[in-house]
Amino acid sequence: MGDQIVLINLLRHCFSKDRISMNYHGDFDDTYTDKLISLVEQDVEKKAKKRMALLISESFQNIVRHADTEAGGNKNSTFGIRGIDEFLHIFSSNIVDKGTKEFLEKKLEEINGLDKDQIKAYYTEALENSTMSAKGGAGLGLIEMARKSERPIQKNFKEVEGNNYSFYMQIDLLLNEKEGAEPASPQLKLEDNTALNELIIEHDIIFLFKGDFSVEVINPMLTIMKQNISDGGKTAGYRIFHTAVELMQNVSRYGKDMGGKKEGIFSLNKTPKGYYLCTGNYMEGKPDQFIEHVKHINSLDQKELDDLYKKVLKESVKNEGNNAGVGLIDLRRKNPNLLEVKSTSDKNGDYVVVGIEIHI
Amino acid sequence: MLSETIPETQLGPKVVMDPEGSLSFHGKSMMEDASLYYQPCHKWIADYIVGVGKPLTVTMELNYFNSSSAKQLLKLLMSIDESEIESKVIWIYPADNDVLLERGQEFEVMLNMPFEYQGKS
Repeated sequence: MGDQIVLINLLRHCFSKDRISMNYHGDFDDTYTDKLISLVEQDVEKKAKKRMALLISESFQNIVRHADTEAGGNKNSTFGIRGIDEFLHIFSSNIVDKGTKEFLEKKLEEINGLDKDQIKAYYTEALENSTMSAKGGAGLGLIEMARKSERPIQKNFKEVEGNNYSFYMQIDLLLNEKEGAEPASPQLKLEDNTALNELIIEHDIIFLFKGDFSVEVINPMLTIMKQNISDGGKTAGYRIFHTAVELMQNVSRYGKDMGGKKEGIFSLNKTPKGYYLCTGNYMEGKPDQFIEHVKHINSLDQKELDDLYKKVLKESVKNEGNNAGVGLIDLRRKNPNLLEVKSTSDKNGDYVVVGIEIHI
Repeated sequence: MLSETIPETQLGPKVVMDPEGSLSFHGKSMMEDASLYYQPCHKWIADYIVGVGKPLTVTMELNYFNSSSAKQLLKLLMSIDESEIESKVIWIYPADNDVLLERGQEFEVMLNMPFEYQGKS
């Protein structure tokens, strides 16, 4: 069993309490901001949507903005969003130099020590007096994030090579504030996300998503992915994209209905030879037939796979419905690597993870 | 018989159905349920075969299609292929994408109608 499939099984347990979870460790580009917002929009009630969008934008663009100051661009930057209980946690990490670390530390301590009214006054004052840096921002974004989240910004710094620091930040947004209720405290500590973040960087996970595999979610995911696999050239890029589409749509098509949602997990890892893609989900019914199908596909040679693809596709035309039944056959025949599959059982049913490596 | 157009969407291609003898697909096709999207095309082809019956040129210029779409596209082509009308397919693919060329060649072996290939750079 490949390491990646074991890893995704481990990660899904890390996210067992998450309604939605997204972790990103790829290229940071301004144009992804609205796609990231679309990914979590389904999880957020209308009245919190505006604040959610602003916090995601500020936090993500903060990484985009500071990419050029990092050694090697922003390859050590990560961004994550996790919906747990009544909170949406927005996490980011990037490398900063010593001067920036000192500025951020001082600024965040100052902001975190203020109450709601003081932050509002501080924001107005900062806005009036700000001499915007060439990159924009100059701490104003941090004040705005504290103002909108109405909670202290969690922060941490870790020294890394070259007199630089990893700067970790987490914003906790309460999605459903009840009038007069005792303010809830977020249960997710920055340290938990930091450990997860280190795992993501260590295993070169570019994109990880757990949540409902609806069309509204699959499409922005695919857009972000497509941009990140451009190094594979046209044909390889096409294969990776196609693998992602088929795997994700399989979750949406065959995943077990969990309270009106087709919940699953998707990950895209960079490997020494290319990319590894996998999905996991609870299945309707027993997975035995599916596992046998994968084993059969893995046992065939190229010609047998091509013949089976054409036979099944041609047969499918006679049947009503949308499913062609050739998705996995097609992934396998366009690839020298075998499909990997692993199933486990728990109180919710049978959970199946399926993955494949695509060489570039 | 009037011409009909399905506008391009985030997931589906632009489809132009012209009773003068052309049917063209342009864009990408990646809907999870492609059968719904192509329903108007199935109907148009059935009407065309019966009502017009002139030679039909099908132009496929798709830069991506998923397995659900492959089934629907093959189904559309098979319904033309099995009719009495004369037809051909012009398969336009990005010149640097072997997979899309192979997709056309695979359709060709499953059908009797002639295919013409145009690699576009």
